[in-house]
Amino acid sequence: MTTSHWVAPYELDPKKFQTKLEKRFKCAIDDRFSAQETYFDTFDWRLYREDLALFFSRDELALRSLKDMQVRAMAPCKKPPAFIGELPTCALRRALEPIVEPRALIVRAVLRRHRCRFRVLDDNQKTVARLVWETWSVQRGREWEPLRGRASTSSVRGYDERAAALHAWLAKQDFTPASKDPFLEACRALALEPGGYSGKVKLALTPEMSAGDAMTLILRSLFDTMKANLDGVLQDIDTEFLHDYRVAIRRARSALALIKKTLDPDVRAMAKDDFAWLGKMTNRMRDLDVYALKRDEYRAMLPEIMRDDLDPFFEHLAKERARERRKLLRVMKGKQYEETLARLEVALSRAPSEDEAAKAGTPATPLAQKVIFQKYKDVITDGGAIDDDSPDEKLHELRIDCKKLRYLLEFFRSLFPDKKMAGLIKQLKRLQELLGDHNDYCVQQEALRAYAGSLTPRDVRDRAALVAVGALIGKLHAAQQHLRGHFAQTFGEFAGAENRAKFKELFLQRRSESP
Amino acid sequence: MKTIAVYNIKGGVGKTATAVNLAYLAARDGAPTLLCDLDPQSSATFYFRIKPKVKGGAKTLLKGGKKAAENVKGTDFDNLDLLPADFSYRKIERAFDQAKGSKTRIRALLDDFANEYAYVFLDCPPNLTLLAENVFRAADCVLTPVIPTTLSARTHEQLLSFFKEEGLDKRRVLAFFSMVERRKKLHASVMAEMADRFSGFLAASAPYLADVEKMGVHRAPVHAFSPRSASARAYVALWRELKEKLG
Repeated sequence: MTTSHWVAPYELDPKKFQTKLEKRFKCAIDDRFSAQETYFDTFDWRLYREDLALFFSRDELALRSLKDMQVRAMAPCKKPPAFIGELPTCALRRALEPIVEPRALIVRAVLRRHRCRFRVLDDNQKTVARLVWETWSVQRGREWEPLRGRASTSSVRGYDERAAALHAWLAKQDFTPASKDPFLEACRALALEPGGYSGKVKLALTPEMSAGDAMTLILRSLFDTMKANLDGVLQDIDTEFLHDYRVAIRRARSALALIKKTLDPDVRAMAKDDFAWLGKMTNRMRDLDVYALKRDEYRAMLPEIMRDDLDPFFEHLAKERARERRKLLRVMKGKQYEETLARLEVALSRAPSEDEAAKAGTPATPLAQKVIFQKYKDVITDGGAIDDDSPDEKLHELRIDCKKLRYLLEFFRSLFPDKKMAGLIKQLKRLQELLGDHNDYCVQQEALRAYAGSLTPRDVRDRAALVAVGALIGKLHAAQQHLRGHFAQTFGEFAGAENRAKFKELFLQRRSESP
Repeated sequence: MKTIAVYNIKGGVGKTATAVNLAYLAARDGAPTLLCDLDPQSSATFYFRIKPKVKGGAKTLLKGGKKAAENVKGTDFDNLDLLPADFSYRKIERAFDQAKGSKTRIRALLDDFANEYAYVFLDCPPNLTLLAENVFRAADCVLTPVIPTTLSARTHEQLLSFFKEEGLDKRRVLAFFSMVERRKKLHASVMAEMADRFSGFLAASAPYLADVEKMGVHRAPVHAFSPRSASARAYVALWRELKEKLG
């Protein structure tokens, strides 16, 4: 049996279609079916990026491939979950968890479908081919906007010529082979751009661009990313809105600190202060989110009998998070916040002229090369100075340097050969992961120790929590030591001759070329 | 792939009804199933509304390979395909004589389907011919519907001695009582006697009921038009027991 999908260039009139079909083929109707389907994806389109569409219909959650329009997995489900982890363990959850977690599922489109299944018969009333037509419409406010009609055919083994006749007939009705899933068509009707948002830096700078224009574009794009996450932060949909919001701010602050003389000095000073203020107010909130996200990991580090003993710790965090969130909302809904955003909006709406900033008119590429190579040298010097006796702070400082280098590589990626940039970023990422994990372990040990200090040993629950926290600190310390032991090798790989040659080739300017 | 040959030396014992209904139930469980209609009377083919036609007839069938597979037709039911019968099968013995390896032609034919199907049912014509011998060698199980009469005991005996003579494994013969009329005293006594005398009788049986006759009117397996009927339930029980025996 082979199935093929077809789409009409028009909205399908079921009655007319049926009359026409029956004129040409002897048919029987198997069944009719109507359903409303609610489609979900994460804010950053993680399912779409994997060519998947997740929809809820009646009492079921189903996953369809956008490539071949076949349903891949289904799970019974009374009401759509906000997070895939809310589903009971099943194939669907197992397939989706690694893709979407920790992001929430948000509604992307609501579609209605009407379907009618026909069997094409021969003179013996034997089924020799199958045909399904479907009409689709998408909800737009209060209206339902019709989408193009669809049909799919299935051949029956040994009767391929009948399926071929059906295809020829469909082609005569101006149907064409369908290449796009109805969900994607609905997105287009809703002016939604699947894959439109991504937390990653996506910039198209050109070599002819001036440094002032490039800088403005970088900051503008980061400011837009920050704003795109604002709603999600306010509504607390999932933790990643705040994360992306903060990363955009941190990137903007790095750009302002590292790429100098490309903005009006007053604008730069103001933007630096404003972004710093925007970032700072969210620090504690993110810390608390990180601990909550680590819950399963922490539990797994403990013997099974002790796992629930950590509950008081997470309850304590949840309470603080609620307080912190109220505080954050008060600020974000306040006047100063509104004014700050408005001020940045104006400041980042135009590029500086050459009079306003010394390097605004110079070409972007040499400037990018200069700042990247400088930061690369910092990383090599600072990292090279770290030995087994260096304090943990030195690794923390190197982590910050690496982050800045990463941001610069990403900002200017489009100015250099992409394959080479991808390779360098990948190398750097490996080092960053080690440094990031190491830092997390350090910070978490301290935080857990501080929390332990707040517990009262007379309370039974607190006492159990104290033991669990103690055990956890031990585990985190061991993990940290383990990473520390790998540092020299991982750093050595990044700092090696091969990478140095690549950095030199791309970013080291010969004297005659430097601006 | 498990191959089930539905066979009896006698005709009119409900072979085709058994093959059609069990194949339907196997497919309904989700297992890709093929029913081969080897009987030139082509009753199984008729029940599925398919034309009894194999291009090249018995010769093509015995050659096997792609040419034979091209004749497989999808039925109206998911997972269930049929290799139709052809009128030329009435002279199939002659075709066997001309073919190489005349005792294992059917096995070679079925080997080609091993990747595609979980179950293959063979609806065989009566008589102890070369075709029957081929079928015995190809099948994991020779399912024999037996009408509970005195004469049936004799033919069953004949089948078992044939297996012995040919060095075939008798344990592959599974029998069940077919077209049973509960009200007939004779049926009850013969059933008790035979179950006692022969090993390899299944506990499930198929009653003599009008639903089975109606298959000819509906041209479909009983379960497809009357799923709650006594016949449909009897075949479900029979299939369940057989499936377990096949492992």
